[in-house]
Formats: sequence, C-alpha cells, structure tokens
Amino acid sequence: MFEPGTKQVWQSIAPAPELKQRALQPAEKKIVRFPGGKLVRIVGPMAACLLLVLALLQFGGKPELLVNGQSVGSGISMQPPAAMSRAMTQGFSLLLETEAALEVSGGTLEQQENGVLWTVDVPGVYTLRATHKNRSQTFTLQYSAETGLWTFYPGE
Amino acid sequence: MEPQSTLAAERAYDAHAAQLYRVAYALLQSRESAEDAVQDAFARYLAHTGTFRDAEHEKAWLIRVTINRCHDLQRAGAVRAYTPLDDLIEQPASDNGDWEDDRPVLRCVLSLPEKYRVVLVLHSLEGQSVDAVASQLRLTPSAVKMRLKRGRELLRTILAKEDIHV
Repeated sequence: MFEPGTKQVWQSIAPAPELKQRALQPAEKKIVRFPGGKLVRIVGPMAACLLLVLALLQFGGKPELLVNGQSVGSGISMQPPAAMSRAMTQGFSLLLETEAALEVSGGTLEQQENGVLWTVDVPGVYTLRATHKNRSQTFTLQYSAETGLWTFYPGE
Repeated sequence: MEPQSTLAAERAYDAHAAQLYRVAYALLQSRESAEDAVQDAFARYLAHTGTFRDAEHEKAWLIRVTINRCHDLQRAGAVRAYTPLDDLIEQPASDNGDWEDDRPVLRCVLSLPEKYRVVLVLHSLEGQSVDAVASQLRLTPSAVKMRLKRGRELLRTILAKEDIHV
C-alpha cells in the first residue's frame, strides 16, 4: 500500500539518544522524566510554595497515610495557593515521606533530601501504590476542574 | 527467577527501542509521552522475571507493554503536548523530492482511528507479518487482516479526499 520511500521516512523516526540512558536505569533510580527542563520549570515555583508534607508510615499492616499526623480518612482536598494558580492547574506535586517503595501511574518520582517528590504535569487522575514488607496500599490523586482542587485519597 | 540484566536490556533497547518509540508516537502523537512510554516499557523489562522464548517473543512482549502504557497515559489524561510529525522527521541528506510527498500520507495514517492505525503501522510501515502483529496485539490473525482491510479502505478514502496519490 505504501511506497518504499514512505516506509523509509517513517522508519527514520527515532528517539533522542539520551532516552537510552533514561530507559536503562533500574526503576528505583529513575528520576528524569521531563525532557527539555520541564521538571525544573514546574518544580521551581512549586518548591517555594509547597506546603504539604504527607507522611506515609508503615506499622506491619497496610501502609498508613498521615498528613501532619492526622489520618487522611476519606480524603483531603488541596487548594493551590493563588500565586501558584497557573502552575497548579498544569500540574501538582506531593512530597511523600516514606520508607515504602512507591509506584505511580504517571508523573515522576524524584528522591529529595526530605522525601520523595511526586510531580504530575497535567491535571488528571493518578494512582500511587506504596509497598512495604510485601504489603501495599493504593492512593489516588485527582484533579477536579469544577472545584479547582486536587484531592488525595486512599483507594482507587 | 532473576530480573533481566542491564546487558540484556541494552541489547533489547538497541534492537527494538526505535520501533517501540514509533508505535508509541503513532498512538499518542506526543514526542515526550512516546519517550515516557518507551522508558516505562524498559523499566518493566528490567523488572520482568519471566523468560522469553526467542527474540520475537521478547519484541512482542515489549510492544504489548508499550501499547498498554500508552493506554494508561491516555486513560489518566496524562498525554503531553502534541508533537507534529514534521518535528520528528529530518530531511535526508540525499533527498530526491519524495520526502516532501511522503509526509502527507503518513499524516493521513496517523489520523485513522486507533485500531486501524496500530495494525497499519505495525504491518504496513514496520513490515511485520500478520501473525507477528496478531501476537503483539493479542488478536487473531483474521482480526488483524480485517482491521488491515478496513484501515486501508478508510485510508484510501481519506487520501482521495485530500487529493493525495500513492
């Protein structure tokens, strides 16, 4: 159906050479997921305003999620600070303090001195799976266009 | 069982990454998201403890994982900015003029509904057999043939509408 030239042009498409290094890192070392410095642009202003520290503790049962020592219960909503409104409607970051292994459905996990920074760059629904000592729990981070709030709650 | 070694992953990357990237781009039409999907596919490859029967089995597994990851990104509304096809194609040094003519055809392929687009890309542009595509997409060979037939018919209609001749 296609001319050989068409196939040749299609097959000339290749990923950037630096993808190889990113792709071959073991999962626990993966940090860079934002080509073109996108991570810097999003995290930079957020870092100045980021107020939320989520403590994810594990007591031999399911990893329990605490916010400032309080249980998340059915969920928490987070209003982006006004100065951050533009950046926040494009994405969101959570700083997670935990010993559990984290797996997310989207965005990036970046190890920082005081925890793991989870950054998503577009509004949507994301899941976080925390696993520790063969026990795991899933959490959901969801953006509501109606309320302008990001909600983080246990479960899917 | 042991996970895949970095050496095996590097060999698999060299053999398949470009094709995985093109398939991911065909689905997501975003350079960054296609890279993310390929990266995630290899993260799963590195953690994969099963064994592959042969190179074809390994390739089919990687293509399936990449496509699944693309669907995850679509479901989560996490696909990044659209990247035009022209941004991914560099003009060849020895261009005889065909280069200009080929891109509109490819753009029409990318405008097809996903189920036709994927089989046309894997079979007609990547040169894979119907059986290989069926294995990669977990379809029967007859379902792949049917999608190819309908996809080609639809593509011909689009090309005619756009006054593009192949």
